[in-house]
Amino acid sequence: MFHHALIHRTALTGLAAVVAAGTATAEDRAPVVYVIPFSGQMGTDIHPDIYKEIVEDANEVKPDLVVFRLDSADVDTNFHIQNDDRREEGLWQNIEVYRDLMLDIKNGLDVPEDKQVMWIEDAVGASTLLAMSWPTVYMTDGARLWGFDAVQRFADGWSDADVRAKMYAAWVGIATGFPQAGGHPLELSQAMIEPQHVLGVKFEGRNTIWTNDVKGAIWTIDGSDKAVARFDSDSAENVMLSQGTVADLDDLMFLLGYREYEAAASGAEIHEQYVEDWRRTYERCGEWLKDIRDRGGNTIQDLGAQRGLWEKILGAMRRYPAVEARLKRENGLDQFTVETEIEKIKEGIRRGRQNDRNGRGGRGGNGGGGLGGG
Amino acid sequence: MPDRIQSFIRVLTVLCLVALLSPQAIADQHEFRFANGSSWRGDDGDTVTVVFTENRVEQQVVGTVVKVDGSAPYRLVVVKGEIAGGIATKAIFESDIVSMTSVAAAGGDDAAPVRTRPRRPSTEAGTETGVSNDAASDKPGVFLLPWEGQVGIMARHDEIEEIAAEADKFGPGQIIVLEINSPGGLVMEGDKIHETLMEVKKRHRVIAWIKKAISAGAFTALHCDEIYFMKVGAMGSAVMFAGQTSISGAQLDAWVKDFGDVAEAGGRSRIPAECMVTRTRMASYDKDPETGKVTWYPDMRGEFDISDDTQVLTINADNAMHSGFIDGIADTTDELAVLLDLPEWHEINDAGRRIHRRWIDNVEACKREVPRIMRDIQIKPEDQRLVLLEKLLRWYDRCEPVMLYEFQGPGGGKDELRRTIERMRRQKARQGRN
Repeated sequence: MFHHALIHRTALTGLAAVVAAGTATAEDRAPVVYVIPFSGQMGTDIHPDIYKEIVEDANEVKPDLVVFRLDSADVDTNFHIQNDDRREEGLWQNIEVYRDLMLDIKNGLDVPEDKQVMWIEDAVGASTLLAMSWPTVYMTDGARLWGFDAVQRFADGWSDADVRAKMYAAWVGIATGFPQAGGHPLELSQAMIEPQHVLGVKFEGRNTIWTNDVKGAIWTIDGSDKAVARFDSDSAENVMLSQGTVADLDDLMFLLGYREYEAAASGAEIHEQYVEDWRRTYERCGEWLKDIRDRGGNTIQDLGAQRGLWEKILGAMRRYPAVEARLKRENGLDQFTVETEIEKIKEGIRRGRQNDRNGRGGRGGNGGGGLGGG
Repeated sequence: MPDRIQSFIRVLTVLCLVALLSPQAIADQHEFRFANGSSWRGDDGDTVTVVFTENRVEQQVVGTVVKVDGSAPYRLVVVKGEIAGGIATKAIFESDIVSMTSVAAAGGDDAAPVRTRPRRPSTEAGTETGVSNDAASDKPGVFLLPWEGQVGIMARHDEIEEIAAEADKFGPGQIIVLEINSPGGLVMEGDKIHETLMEVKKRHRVIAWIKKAISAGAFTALHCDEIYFMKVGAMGSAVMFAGQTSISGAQLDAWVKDFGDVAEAGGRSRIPAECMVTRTRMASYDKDPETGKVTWYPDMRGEFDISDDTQVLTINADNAMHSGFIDGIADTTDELAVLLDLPEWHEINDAGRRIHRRWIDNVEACKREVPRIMRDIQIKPEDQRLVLLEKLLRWYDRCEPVMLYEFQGPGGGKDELRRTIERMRRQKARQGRN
């Protein structure tokens, strides 16, 4: 589906751009850049549900360059008041879903990987997995690129030391696949995943040599064996993890050597619409759950109304996996539990009708209503 | 004097011709000297073989020099060649180039693909093409079997046997690719997989293509003649445990030995393989910078660390490739085809995908339906119970691994469930007679 790409043409003035990379592939048009947003909550706003459509759209646009605009952080920059909404924290348990999402996007795009650029506006939490999955990285001034803190806790539930070591190694190995896909060396990813690894850099010519031994390193990035390595736009650029710090898309394109370009905005529009839709649907689910609780009642009419509301919730879950993910995290509901509620209500209604036929009044059976509490 | 003037005019003419004709030629001719002492001189448009390293992996591209940008020693060589099944342009930094040689242009723009060369000088088992398709298939190809999910439940020896039987129809020497994405699973299935693969390998070339091969998944992969990783690939973490507790003593020793033996049967060192099984083993290696030959050590004396005695090993693409433990890295089937020495990716038929889909659909249906049946047994009227139990029993026949290991034998196990059903049938019959 082609989404009437809103293409705006931006002519940059000023100094000659950096050579080579950004020359137009066709003389009769400016290079086209397609922006794919990775913004919002990992696991809901950033979900495979929508990116298949975006990749298809991108391939129809036939861009010369794809820019992934990543803006997903679990905590804000105000550490003092800790006002972050925990409900908006990324879902870490989907790590393999993110891996497959990343692979599907990379392999699905017709644009070669050297024309795919990761632009980090903010990456804290599970989004860092995606941030590290592409080799060409630029960052917004002040952007954060934190480590994969959560992975170290994935194996905490195992009491046996060897089994815990197994689970830990497995999860670290899977998480390491992301920076490996981005061509980033193991020394860097180890320090970003495992607190016990320190991180320093040396330089050989223009090449950065990452090391987990800070003795002899020119710069120490992370000297602590209690915390994972983190970067901001400055430190990342200093060690050439980020190729440059930019203010906006114009700036990014200029650094990439494109003095003039056309930006296809349809990817952002598709994503924005999707986020708006699933979040609105999710809000409605909250209202329906409240209605179910408020209404209560055991008459056939009550049960019929409750059943209708549960069915709407089930429909929303089936339509938007993001809705199910949030309802599961916040209300303990998944499709099976909702289906079970509906089945219980159906059974209650059946018994109620049976009672009616037997002349024992119109009360239903013991249907539903036990779930859905916040 | 006239002779000198004529001579001067001739020289001037030659210089002018040079001036008129050569600027482009002079501007486009490039000369490179590489770290190993070799050099290359040539022009844009020349057909060249470039060996270069990228992400520590040595690769090769044959193609046409499109242009050279920048100035020494930071030049960027742009070569147009076949990459991942299509013609693409590759920009290579001068500093990454190992060697560059001109080749006679054959067929104009024809170009060989970029390929990662296996760096396993000490273990060359299974690297010959070995494909000898009969008339049923005109071009060399593969049988691909997606092999994913829990070992023994979703990923089983049964499907490997099925795809081998399919390959047998085309004669020996077929290429069977197991596309592995498994978190591990049941040890008892590992024994069956071992028997199956050791047999299949006698007839065919068996390839592991790994996204994730954890535990029993790694055990399976290690059997294969060749192992390729996707860039995200991970293999290892094979500590065996029952309930919440890891095995120890003689049982552990046997498992460590099995793992090492299997690695050696696949042409690989047992040293890193054993580190996947227990924290007590270590692995490091040296690598000859000239030959690439890897020497493994069961301790930390080598230049490159793989696993110390505080951790269980899960190996990733970079260290697996650098240590020569795997044969290459491919993210796509086209890239894999190049590594397998195939002219292009060609699946001889889709039997593997169908075999996989059929079983996975069955497993997913079982996982979806059985909880519903169990729920309905609880909430539906008594008179529906017999039908529900019969449905439940049928799932034992259709998908026993899920019933036994995922749902822990609902209904008290198959035999108990059958007895329950028989009792209910007799009861119902008695009620009918009364």
